[in-house]
Amino acid sequence: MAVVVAFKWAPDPQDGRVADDGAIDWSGAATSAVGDDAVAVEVARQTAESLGQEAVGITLGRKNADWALARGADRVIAVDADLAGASDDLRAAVLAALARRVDGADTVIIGDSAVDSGAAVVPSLLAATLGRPGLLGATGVATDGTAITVERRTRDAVVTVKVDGPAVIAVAADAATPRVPGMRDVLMARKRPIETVELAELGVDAPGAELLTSRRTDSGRQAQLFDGADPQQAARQLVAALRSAEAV
Amino acid sequence: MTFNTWIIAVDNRIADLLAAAATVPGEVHVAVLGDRDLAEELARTDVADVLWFEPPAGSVVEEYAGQVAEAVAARKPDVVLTGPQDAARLIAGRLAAQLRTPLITSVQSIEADPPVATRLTVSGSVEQTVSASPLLAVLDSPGGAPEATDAAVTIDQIVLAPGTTISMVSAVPRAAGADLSTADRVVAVGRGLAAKTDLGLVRDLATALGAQVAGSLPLAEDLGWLDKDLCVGISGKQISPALYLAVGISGQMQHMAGVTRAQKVVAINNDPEALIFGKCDYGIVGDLYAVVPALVSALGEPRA
Ligand SMILES: Cc1cc2nc3c(=O)[nH]c(=O)nc-3n(C[C@H](O)[C@H](O)[C@H](O)COP(=O)(O)OP(=O)(O)OC[C@H]3O[C@@H](n4cnc5c(N)ncnc54)[C@H](O)[C@@H]3O)c2cc1C
Repeated sequence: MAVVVAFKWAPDPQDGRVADDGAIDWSGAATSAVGDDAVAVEVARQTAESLGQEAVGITLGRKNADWALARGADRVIAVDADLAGASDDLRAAVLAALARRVDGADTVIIGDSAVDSGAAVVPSLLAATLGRPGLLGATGVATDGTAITVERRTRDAVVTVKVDGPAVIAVAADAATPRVPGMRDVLMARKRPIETVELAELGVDAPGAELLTSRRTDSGRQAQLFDGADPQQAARQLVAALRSAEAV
Repeated sequence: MTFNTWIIAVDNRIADLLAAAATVPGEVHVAVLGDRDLAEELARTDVADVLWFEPPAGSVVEEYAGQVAEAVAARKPDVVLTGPQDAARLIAGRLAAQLRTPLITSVQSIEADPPVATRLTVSGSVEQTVSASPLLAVLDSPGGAPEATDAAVTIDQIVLAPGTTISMVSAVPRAAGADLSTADRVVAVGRGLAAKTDLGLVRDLATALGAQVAGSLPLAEDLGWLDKDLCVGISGKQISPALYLAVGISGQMQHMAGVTRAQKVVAINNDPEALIFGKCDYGIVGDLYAVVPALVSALGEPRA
């Protein structure tokens, strides 16, 4: 039995260089820890430990494996492909195929933040592709040695549920405090196995949307700044500017 | 040409989904996962009929995403629209798998014939129009409660097979937080605030603007000065107010990704080098403790 954790499955959105025509260049995308990866790995490590199971990391891109091994993954399976510009659908399909390679991987843990194309759908697509229930926005994951309980906040309640069988759990940024690996963890990590698989081996395909038009939005906001050394004057200037822009 | 359009509803916030669906020629159906009251409320809207899935009492709705998707997929939709709520995204994921169609997210609007979605990607810096058949779209803002019509349409109930994987342990009610997703103006506060007791300052500004109060992750989660629902950013809410005023917030990407769709972004920060000054429309470089009260009084002054 194993707890699978999907980490570094999407590039950091701020690493995409956008041309005027909306074309996105991911070639400079760093593979630093993004999103809730560190939280997901920590939750998986704790869960696996208390269930007496193996913690297996799955990731897109070979470069990231050591990062998770140093944080407590027992081994990592990485797909050797550059999926920086891939669709959410393809990312999820690849992660699902990797998860399927792990025997008895009932619990799959993944970060919940919207670092994918923006709506945090990879966790739900992953659950769907694996054909199992998903729980999103988990603020706490605990076990009593056999069963897993997940805490979530809904609009009007804090809900705790028990998970009894295969599921995908997407964890929020506050589900655990990531640990900072020490020298010993880094050295131990070197002994742990990394399995690399080719994309073609996985035999995945995902439907793609047809791109009709694309353009860069004017996110480059041009700030008009007022000097707050004189707070009253700056406040009046701001209010006047907001009034003439009909924002207040 | 007409299209078979479906809205997936997990609560009553579907006004904008209905408006988007109305642009597509053909009948609009609603699939509702929730209690009888919700199904009856949505039956009094401008739709052809309601397909109602009632989760067994005391069960966890997430478990039924697969069954809802299967039933909707069997009705061969051309267009499916839903919101960003957790259960809605799970159903959308299942539908993508069932219909073998891409899941199009961060959708701002729909245009018909043929159906095309306008979406934002890369933290809002790219706008794309895309098509797919069927078109499965998650809209960023599903809207508020729909306007009630006089007559109710028929409700077909589908009985769900009880789930076996997820069971309820406890549900502790908490005060429902303000709904930031539909707020027109938001004043958000960050670590620049020195003490929880100083929140009053920010609330005064929010009152003067008729705005809701929100915060950065440290305030809403780590320090717990604000309700966790009020966190703006990738781990919290992605919002689209007309005015977003950030007080003592540095402007890290994880926070700003939550406000890419705000019309006007204003920042108050005492550090002229703060990142947020590169991502806002207006800013005051100064001490929030002096600037915020000055703003409250300036807002009270008559227009020049
Ligand atoms: C996986 C992950 C997810 C995250 N998700 C989110 C998220 O959803 N939302 C979010 O907000 N953050 C998120 N973060 C955290 C984010 O990276 C930043 O750490 C956070 O947004 C910083 O909050 P802040 O701006 O309030 O604090 P700081 O970065 O500490 O900024 C405080 C600012 O206040 C200014 N200031 C200080 N004193 C004054 C004064 N007297 N007057 C005026 N200005 C003053 C300072 O100059 C500074 O710019 C996430 C991080 C990770 C790793």
